[in-house]
Amino acid sequence: MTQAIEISALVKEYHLGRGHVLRAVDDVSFTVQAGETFGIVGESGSGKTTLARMLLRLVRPTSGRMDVLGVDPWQASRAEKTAYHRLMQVVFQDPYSSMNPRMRIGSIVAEGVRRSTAARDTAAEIERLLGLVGLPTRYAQLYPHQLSGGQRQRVAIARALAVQPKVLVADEPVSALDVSMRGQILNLIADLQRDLGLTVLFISHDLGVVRQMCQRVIVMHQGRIVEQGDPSQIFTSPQQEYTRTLVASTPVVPVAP
Amino acid sequence: MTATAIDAPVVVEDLHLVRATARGTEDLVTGLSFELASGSALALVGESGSGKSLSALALMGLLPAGVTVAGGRISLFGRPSTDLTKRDWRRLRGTRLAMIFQDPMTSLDPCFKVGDQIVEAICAHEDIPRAEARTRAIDLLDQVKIADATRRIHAYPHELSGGLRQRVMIAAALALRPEILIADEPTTALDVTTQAAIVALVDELRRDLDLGVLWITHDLGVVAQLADRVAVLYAGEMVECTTREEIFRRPQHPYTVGLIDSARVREPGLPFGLIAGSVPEPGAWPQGCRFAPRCAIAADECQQHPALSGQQVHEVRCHFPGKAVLQ
Amino acid sequence: MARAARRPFVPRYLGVSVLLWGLLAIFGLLAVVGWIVLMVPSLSTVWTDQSLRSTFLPPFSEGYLLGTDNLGRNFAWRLTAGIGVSVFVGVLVAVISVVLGLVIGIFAGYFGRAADAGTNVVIDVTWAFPEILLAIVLAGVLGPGLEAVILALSLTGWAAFARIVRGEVLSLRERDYVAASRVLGYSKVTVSVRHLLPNLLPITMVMAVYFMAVAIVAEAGLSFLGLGAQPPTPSLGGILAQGRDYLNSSWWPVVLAGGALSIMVLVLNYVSDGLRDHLDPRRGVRR
Repeated sequence: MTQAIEISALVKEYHLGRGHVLRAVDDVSFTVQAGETFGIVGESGSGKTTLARMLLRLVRPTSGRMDVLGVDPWQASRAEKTAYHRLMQVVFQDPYSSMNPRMRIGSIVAEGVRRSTAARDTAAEIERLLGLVGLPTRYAQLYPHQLSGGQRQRVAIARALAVQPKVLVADEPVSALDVSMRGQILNLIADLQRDLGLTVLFISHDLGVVRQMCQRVIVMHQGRIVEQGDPSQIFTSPQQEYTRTLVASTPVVPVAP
Repeated sequence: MTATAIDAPVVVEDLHLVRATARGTEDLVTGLSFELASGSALALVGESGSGKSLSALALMGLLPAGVTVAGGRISLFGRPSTDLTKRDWRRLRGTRLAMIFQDPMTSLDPCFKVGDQIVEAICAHEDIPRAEARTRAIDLLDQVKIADATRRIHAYPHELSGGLRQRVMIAAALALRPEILIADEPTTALDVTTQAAIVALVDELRRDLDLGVLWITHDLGVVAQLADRVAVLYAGEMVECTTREEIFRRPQHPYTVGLIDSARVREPGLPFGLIAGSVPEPGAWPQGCRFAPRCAIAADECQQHPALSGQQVHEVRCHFPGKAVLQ
Repeated sequence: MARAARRPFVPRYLGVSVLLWGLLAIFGLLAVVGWIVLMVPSLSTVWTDQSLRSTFLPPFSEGYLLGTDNLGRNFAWRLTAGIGVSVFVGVLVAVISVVLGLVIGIFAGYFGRAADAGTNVVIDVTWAFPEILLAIVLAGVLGPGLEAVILALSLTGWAAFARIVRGEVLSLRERDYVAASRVLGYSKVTVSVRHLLPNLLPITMVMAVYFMAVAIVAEAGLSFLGLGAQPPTPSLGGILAQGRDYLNSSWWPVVLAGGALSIMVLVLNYVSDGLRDHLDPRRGVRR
């Protein structure tokens, strides 16, 4: 298995007034293998979202190195930076704010298609992508408010896949959806990951979902990695105190044998 | 539910809520019946569009503009809610019937210190000197396990974390020693660790103060920790109601089965449980069984709207109760 | 979410009532009139034609619907021309202010902290700058006339709007769809045009109409002082200034011009309010 992502000593500091410095991400290092689903678990303030934004080239790290498929997005040349955006894409948490309410679904997906290098018929490509995420072609004419939350997330996934990325960052992709619909999106991500050979970074606060979804996981707390490894193991025998609290607090639905 | 205990503090019979739209009236909740006894916890479980929040607001007389009670009865402490005047409601809310909401930031006034808000609430209903009200406020903050309460009463809401704000909300809700507490998704916006603490707190308070708790949530895991009885709502009606043990051991309604399937933890690598399709909007509910379009075991009979059947202990609204099973 | 029960039936186009569109159309027409007055001198005889034998004729005199002024000019035409000029200047100033405000506001709000700090200084200075002083200075440099007035009003007017735009942009830029676009590799400029501008359009329309009202009053004031439209170019301010001297013999120039000014400002404020209500995002596309 080749290594897809390597993060070394990544730090993000925010300077709030009066000498306060907030270390949102504090010396984080980990590696992700190509083709695996890698989980990042944490609660609010853990730094997981800041970490994701640094990976996506939205926020500049204070220090540290990132290596995504051979490219460091923060030291890259202009051409490499453009190429980077085709390597790594994102699905955000909130299906309501992740698409422009004034644009039709087709245009939203087209925004992604236009960035992909292979010159092809845009309309056909939109149709293909919508099909990939299980949406009928006629949805391209609709506006976001006409779709349910789950359907919007599918559109977000279609837009992300338009550039044929190698890495997909899913930032709490189902937290804002109804429980009975989460499975649809989670299974879709798992299927796409398998079919397209994606590397998925799955960010969540739900250890239960991460356990089922990911091969490896890091647990973040206040900017640092407190524990990492196999999700099942962490679930059954957490080593660190914070992880123990997290596991104990995760509500479990009792199922009759 | 047929014969309801008249002495239960909260009795809801056949509640029918509607909303006025440009195209006429739209049903939001139909045929909802349940009761809440002191010292017990009832969980109203549902997803978006189930009508669970509106039902709770109806209990408090706080329905939003445009939404009205078109049928059914709500009895609060023996009196029908339709009999209550505005003054009656003011005397009831906060004192015997209290509610906490999902977002403590919008429920607490950001311009005032939290202690002052609790003191205001107390002094509005009871004729006691402010100093005494303040002592009671400190005691309340202690009761909800806020450390260093004497200092914290001087804090503004934005200076406190989400979990602390929610505890303050609970303290304010309990300030006048209500008998019934309605909690509308109070932990949904909180971290998992904070959520566990709040759920444990409310459970402890329920036992200590003999509170009747109506807990509205979409999270079955929370239900498992806290509820005595569980009522599952789908598209504006109750589809199943039974004890906590029964609902997880022998769920009868396909929707409940699907919910449990979606929410439970499975072995790694297995696909996630789900229910196909999405929740229908009010106004677009099917004529027959509202869950039929998404139901794996739907048949011709499901064109007929099913009635609530079964004993008091376990009620189901389905033509084929128990047929859907967990894999 | 509670929806409004039964709204009274008002025909609408694009969510804005037909009435408001009608009013906007009228103002559009008047602006065209103003443009003609200023740009087509060959027609000017209509409102500059003097007739020294028929001075101070009251309204409803033979052949003169609104009478004549001190130089015997047909006041109906003169007033119409003056209104047209005022509206035209108003539209021009509003458009320039709004465009400048949008560009600078987006720059301040979206292009980094240094850009924000720098533009804030410029905005503060501009906002505080008195437009009358600038008009006088420009009149001194360019010679008195409408060019000086338009420049003066535009160069001071954009600052308030830039502030508003900056505020909107600060919240818009946090939306996930803006981030998603950046993650796709689009430049900030592209994202601004594609995602920020369309969402700024409602507030822009509302403020543009409001600025028109402000500009019309300001131009009237400056013309009244003699800094704006120079005779024989008609303008409401000029008419008021001239009419003031002959108030004893002819009340109608002052009353009618003043009345026209007041009504226009009232109507524009009404349109601005109406637009804001209709374009309220809560009534818009969201569920």
